[in-house]
Amino acid sequence: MDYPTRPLESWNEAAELRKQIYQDITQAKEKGKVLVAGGTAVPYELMGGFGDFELVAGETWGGNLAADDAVSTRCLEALEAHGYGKEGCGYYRLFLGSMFLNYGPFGAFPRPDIVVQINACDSQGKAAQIVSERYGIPGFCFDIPLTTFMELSSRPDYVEFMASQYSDFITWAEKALGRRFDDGRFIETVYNATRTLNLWGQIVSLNKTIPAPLDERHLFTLFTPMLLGRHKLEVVRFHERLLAEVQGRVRDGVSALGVEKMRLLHEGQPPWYALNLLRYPAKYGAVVVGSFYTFCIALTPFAVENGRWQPLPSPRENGVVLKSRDDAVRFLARWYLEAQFFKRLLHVPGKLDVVPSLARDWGAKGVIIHLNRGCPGYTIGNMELKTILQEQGIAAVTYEGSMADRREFSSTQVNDRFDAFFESLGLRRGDS
Amino acid sequence: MQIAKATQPLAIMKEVVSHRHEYAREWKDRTGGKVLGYFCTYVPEELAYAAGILPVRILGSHEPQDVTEPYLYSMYCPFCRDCLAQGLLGKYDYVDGVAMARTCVHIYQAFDSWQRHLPVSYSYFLSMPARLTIPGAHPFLVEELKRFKASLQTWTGKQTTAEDLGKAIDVYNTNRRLLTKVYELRKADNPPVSGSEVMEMVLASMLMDKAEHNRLLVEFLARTPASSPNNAPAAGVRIMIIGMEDDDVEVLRLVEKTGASVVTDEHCTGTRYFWKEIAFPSTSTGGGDFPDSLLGAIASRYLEKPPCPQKDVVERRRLDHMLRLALEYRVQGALLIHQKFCDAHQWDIPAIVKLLKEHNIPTLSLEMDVTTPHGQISTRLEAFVEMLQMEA
Ligand code: SF4
Ligand code: SF4
Repeated sequence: MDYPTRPLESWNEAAELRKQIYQDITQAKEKGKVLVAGGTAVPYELMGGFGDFELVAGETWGGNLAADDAVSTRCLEALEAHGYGKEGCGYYRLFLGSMFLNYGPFGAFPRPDIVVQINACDSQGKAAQIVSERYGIPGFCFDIPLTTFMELSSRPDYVEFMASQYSDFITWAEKALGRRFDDGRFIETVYNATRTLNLWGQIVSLNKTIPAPLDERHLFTLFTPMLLGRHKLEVVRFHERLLAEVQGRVRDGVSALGVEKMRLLHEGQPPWYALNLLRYPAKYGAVVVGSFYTFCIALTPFAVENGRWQPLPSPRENGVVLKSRDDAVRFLARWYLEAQFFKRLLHVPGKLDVVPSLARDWGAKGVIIHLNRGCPGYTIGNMELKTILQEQGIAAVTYEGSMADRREFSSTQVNDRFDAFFESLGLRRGDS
Repeated sequence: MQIAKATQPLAIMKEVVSHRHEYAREWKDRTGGKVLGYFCTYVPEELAYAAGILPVRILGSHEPQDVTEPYLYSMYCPFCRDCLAQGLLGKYDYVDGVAMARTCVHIYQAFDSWQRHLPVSYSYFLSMPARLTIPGAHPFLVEELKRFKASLQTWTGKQTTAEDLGKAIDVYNTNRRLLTKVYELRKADNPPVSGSEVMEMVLASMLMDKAEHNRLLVEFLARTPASSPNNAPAAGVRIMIIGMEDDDVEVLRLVEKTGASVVTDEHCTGTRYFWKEIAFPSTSTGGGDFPDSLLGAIASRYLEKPPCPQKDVVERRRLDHMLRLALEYRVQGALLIHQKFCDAHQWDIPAIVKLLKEHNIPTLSLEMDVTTPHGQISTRLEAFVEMLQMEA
């Protein structure tokens, strides 16, 4: 069926904001800010207590590099020339290659002041170690417990464990940076970051509407400010405007692509050098409305009740006042541990539970699963996932590729697979 | 039954390794106990052993297989696929339950698919910390151990007492001590035991009732002189094996065929498995405040043992252990045995090569798949050993 569509008005603003964020990263030192090397899931709300800072994150830096074939090849070769193998996270391999080359998408690789990481996935802590050793700068790695549990209420010690690490981090960073930690700034950062995440949760939830106002290709581009600057006031404001625009699209029945005969989810990171793959289903009148990855990546909090996913309000909206450092530390520990992303990331039963649940709640009839050779972490359980989805009456197709390395990807083969999949679903090319 | 045929301790251990499934079945018949298949050296076996359970490490067979394709994507390491294959092929049909302590994502998936598709009455995932040196890691692990202990008790329907656990710790510590003594034999110029034989002894330890294994080790040590007679052939160049999961004894035999000797190792079917005892002073009293003092002692051991690369983040501890062994055993060359797709290990390789180079220890990297291309490996090994001989 055809629906009205129009370009997203916030698109240019998002592009400007991304550009600004990357400029801020590369100019952090000149502007007297702390530059932290790490990943997008570090609890960098804590960094807010040390004043202005920027984050150069392996995932987004790597994703940017991956989009440029020539640059990404140079980075991968530089890494291999330093003796590293082809295994491990593709993002971090590009990030480290860029570091060794001292070359990146925005000029020279910016020398960080400290490294802060989490060790949820095996590549994160190891990559942090390499950056820390390369520059001789202090590093800190948070340990994220992984388990088969689903409810935090059964593991109160996990909150203690996280909270104790946050306190350790504050002491460590005061020493590493020679700066005092400011509780007020920290609490403000928590408020801003959680507000951005809630807004993101509301935005992606609007994609449950038929027709979907946005598609996965939009989300993959729009999520950068949230990943790198969710604590900044201008990023909060941007998300407020974006939410208002998407609400307007819903009100006016404006669709992402003008077609929506069927909705699909994507599972995994995209091949960044071939993002239009996510629009390929539109040739058959189908639209990819999102993924667990884009919905939950920056630890967007959702409550899931009776199969319905509801974005959780931020503390300020909820009337929760964080009165002290300890209050905020405990709040943050709980927030992180309750994030769907950590409960289900690197956790096969979690993934097998969450993807069918999202498909049902977002009305997707099928899931496109990326067997991503660039991500041993997030690709876990994907073979089992295909079977589980099919058992639950949700169509599933896998394709092989890599989020970071084009050499692992054949668009002809992938398109052929997709053609066969869509035809098996009764869709025809040119359908709308 | 093959096991009973051998009478010499080393031969018995070798037979256990090659007839591991028969051994476990026989143990079950004999004791009526349960067998727990475990997936990583971070599983605190003492707790299972104290509950009267036989912990058996799930290992691969190094034979081609195609049964794991619907469950594990081909980019995950050959070892984890080989392990799952053994389950799917019914080789471990005597295993009553499975346990896993958090390590890498590869083996975790093998564990998950195992408990999903194979009939087990018990499965447990222990959230072993991934950064071992932080202050919160110890109390966190103690809580995890309490939950593991409680779940084992529910499974077996029996309480584990402080005395049971104290005895289990004693048996395990004894095993660690004896294996260390066996390793020390290879410090000699002409070691009286070969690297491949020692690897089989460690593997047997992972598969056998540790008390029985201890008896075999005691007997072996009693019969074995501290070094080969003076007229024994020279040891050849002294090689160290470094890696992740390296249970392919055949590769060590190939090294030995070149005239070299494997004198020590740093991998998880070697020193990383048994190194470091639990610091528990008494075998039977339990210290009066069971379970925390005992569980605390167990937690310390697993946090402080030589770490696997996945857990060796920020401050490196793995390299210290490796270097100490290399120097103590007068290593002249090191084989970096790398399971294809093993990301945890690959991140460490440049740091290892650099460290060993600084100590004039050349390295050779060998990549392993489910089956080992022996011909190709032999040629590279011969060239490597020749180079070392020339340098010696
Ligand atoms: S989960 Fe994937 S993308 Fe994330 S750090 Fe691990 S390998 Fe990289
Ligand atoms: S060999 Fe490496 S990838 Fe495989 S199970 Fe061991 S640590 Fe994991």
